[in-house]
Amino acid sequence: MSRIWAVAMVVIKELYRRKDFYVLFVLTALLTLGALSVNFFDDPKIIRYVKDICLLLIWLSTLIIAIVTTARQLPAEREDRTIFPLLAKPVSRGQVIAGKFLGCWLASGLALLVFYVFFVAVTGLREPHLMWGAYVKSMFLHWMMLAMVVGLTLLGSVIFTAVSSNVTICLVAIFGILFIGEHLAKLAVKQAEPVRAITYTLFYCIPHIELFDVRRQIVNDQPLPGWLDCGLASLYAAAYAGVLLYATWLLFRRKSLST
Amino acid sequence: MKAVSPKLLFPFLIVLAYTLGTVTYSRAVGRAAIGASDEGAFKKLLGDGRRLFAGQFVEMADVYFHSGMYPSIFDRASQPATKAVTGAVNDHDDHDGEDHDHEEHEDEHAAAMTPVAENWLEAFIHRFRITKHSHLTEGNEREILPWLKLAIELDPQNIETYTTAAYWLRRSLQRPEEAEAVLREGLRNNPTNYELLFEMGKLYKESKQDHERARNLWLAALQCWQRQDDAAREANGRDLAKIASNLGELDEEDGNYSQAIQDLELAKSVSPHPEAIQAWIERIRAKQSAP
Amino acid sequence: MSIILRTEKLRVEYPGGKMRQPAKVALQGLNLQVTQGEVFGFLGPNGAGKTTTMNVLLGFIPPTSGSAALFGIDVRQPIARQRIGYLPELTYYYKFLTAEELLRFYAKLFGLPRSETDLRIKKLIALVELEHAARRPIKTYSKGMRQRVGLAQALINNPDLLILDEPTSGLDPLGRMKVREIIQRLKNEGKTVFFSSHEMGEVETVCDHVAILHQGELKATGVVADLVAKYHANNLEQVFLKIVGYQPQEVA
Repeated sequence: MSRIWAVAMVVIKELYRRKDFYVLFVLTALLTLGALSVNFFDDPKIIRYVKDICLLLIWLSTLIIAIVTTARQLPAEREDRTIFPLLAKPVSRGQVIAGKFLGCWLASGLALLVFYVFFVAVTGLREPHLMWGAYVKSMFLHWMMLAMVVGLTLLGSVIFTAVSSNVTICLVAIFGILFIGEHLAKLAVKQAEPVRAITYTLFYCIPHIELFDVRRQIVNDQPLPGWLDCGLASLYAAAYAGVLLYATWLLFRRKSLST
Repeated sequence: MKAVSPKLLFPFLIVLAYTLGTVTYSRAVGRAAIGASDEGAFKKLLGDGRRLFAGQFVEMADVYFHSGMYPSIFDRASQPATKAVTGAVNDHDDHDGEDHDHEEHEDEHAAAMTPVAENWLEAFIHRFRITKHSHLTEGNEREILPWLKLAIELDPQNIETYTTAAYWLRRSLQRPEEAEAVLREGLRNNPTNYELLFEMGKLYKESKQDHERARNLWLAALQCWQRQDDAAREANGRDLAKIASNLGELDEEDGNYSQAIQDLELAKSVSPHPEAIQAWIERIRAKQSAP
Repeated sequence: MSIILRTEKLRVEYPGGKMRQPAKVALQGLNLQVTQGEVFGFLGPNGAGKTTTMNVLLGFIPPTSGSAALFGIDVRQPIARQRIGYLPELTYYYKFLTAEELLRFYAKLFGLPRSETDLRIKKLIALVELEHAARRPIKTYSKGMRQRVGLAQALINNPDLLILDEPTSGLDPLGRMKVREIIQRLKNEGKTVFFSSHEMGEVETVCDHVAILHQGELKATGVVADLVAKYHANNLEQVFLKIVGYQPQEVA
């Protein structure tokens, strides 16, 4: 475990020493504060649209951070040849994969925490009673969702040669799931065979990352699912991340290290 | 030919770029002055696509109005639901004598908004969605206003956005001045629109108790309605009934019973519920004949 | 003396690719033995199979047939690399880390305790003369400095076997001298060094044993002086040229 942890720590160091996170955070902060500064009918109590915009930007930013950080890990190790001194140590390829996953997931979680602190600060400017419990639950679900995103991107990084292809394909797949993932069964009903069977299969096979999107509850001050449901969702995310990691290891263990 | 020093070339390029920029800009400004008026940054940026965004923002307002419980486009394809945020305006404006069973309507509305799970996975996903149907109350209606304001900016020709924003400002937030400002902006962009005139009349009658101005505005609305072509008049008959019945109610309140009966006769001619209006007319006639 | 490194009938084939080309044989039946305390030079022209051998020894590629073991453990087991240090020919490390952080990271991979890690980092940074730059990101280092960081990381676990792939390639004469000094020091400490090089003079200076590889086959192995005598040559370079079949062209 200490070896996996060591690999993970390098990934985290990489995140906070690169500019991506800072650029996205500043952009989110500027856009949110810009939205907050707009005067709508001289009513200072209006807040929900600011929460909505801020959460949307947080979702976009953390998805970009998670995908871009993960997508470059293994290709960069091979291109920069850092994989050779790394694997010349008593580390297995499986441990490298696990370490990269853990690092990217923790790094995305840290970024998420910073973004949520900002969100709570902005919300606190206009809302007298903050929904602390709901915010913690929302962030936890968001973080669990990122485990699936990181797993998916890591798998993509051993399939696709170019980082840009992997990033693009992962973004398209993830936004596709976010928009229509939960409605695939409804779409399937209206299709003829074999499209119907394919759509149903897709519905049951894809990682339902939209499940973890509880922004609407947060924006509209509605109750979030209970901790039991959150626990089940976490198991769902963990199972998917596990399957994706296993697939990544199966491909990576036989992969040539040179580019 | 003697080679030009790169140091000289750089200021020359700057001067050239500045000159071209100035000339092009002044020509563009000249053309804009001759042609149409300035159409705003949104039109320049988005073109006609801005209407799509405007529609999306009105929907956002509706989502907020339902406290986040809102069907997806896939759910709406099977169960069409009206927008409550805009529908409420018409519900309250209709004075055609039809009896509204509000609770029944609300139940149907809530049922239309509730997505139905058809398998275990959908059922699990629905546990992470808002399941309690409610509308914004106690001044929280203010939360829909930013989206309506943005929709107005993006699509100044969408009348429903002005009337909806004005309605909520006037009725729930008790801010008639802001409501009037919204309607005036709408009238500046759509000077002959009868719906805006009608809503302005409602504002003067209900919020400012200025019956005289309300009457004038509704009469102007009536004229604008009549100036439409035949097809539009055919399609918008219900609006005429709405204007005429509100005029009738106003005249009845002011004791102008004959005028009220005239207005209601006009409303009856286009109303889908003429019998209810006839009953109303009878009530006025009874009042008129009473000592 | 115990055998530190052993290969038996080692064969490596690279697949032919998508165009159904025949598989390329990179190594065929390689038998090597390196005993404890030796400095072993691994020689051969480009494409002879030196890097392939090293890749098998380090577990980067699996052998097609035959076996390879370090300290008696199959090289496919990660634990076989617990007591080795490796310096690749081209040294690229995580540029966003400082030399100190890089060494600490590798020390963690070897499971070294923190106190020992601190001591070793201090000692190695001094050995490679990078005290002034130890807390600067590696991206700010010159090529020579990166090579020195590479050497330090190869020594972080105080290895019993050091595998060096062209360790002096691209270094200035001072850098080469430093590497030679370090190899000599390790030899004096009883460590085993296995290294590949094109620099015959260098190999002759520091190596006890050499192996010469050509077209994937082991052509000669033994003590330098014995090989020079056996091939009736004046130095190792002439032995090497004879083995690879080099015929000097007459200059008109």
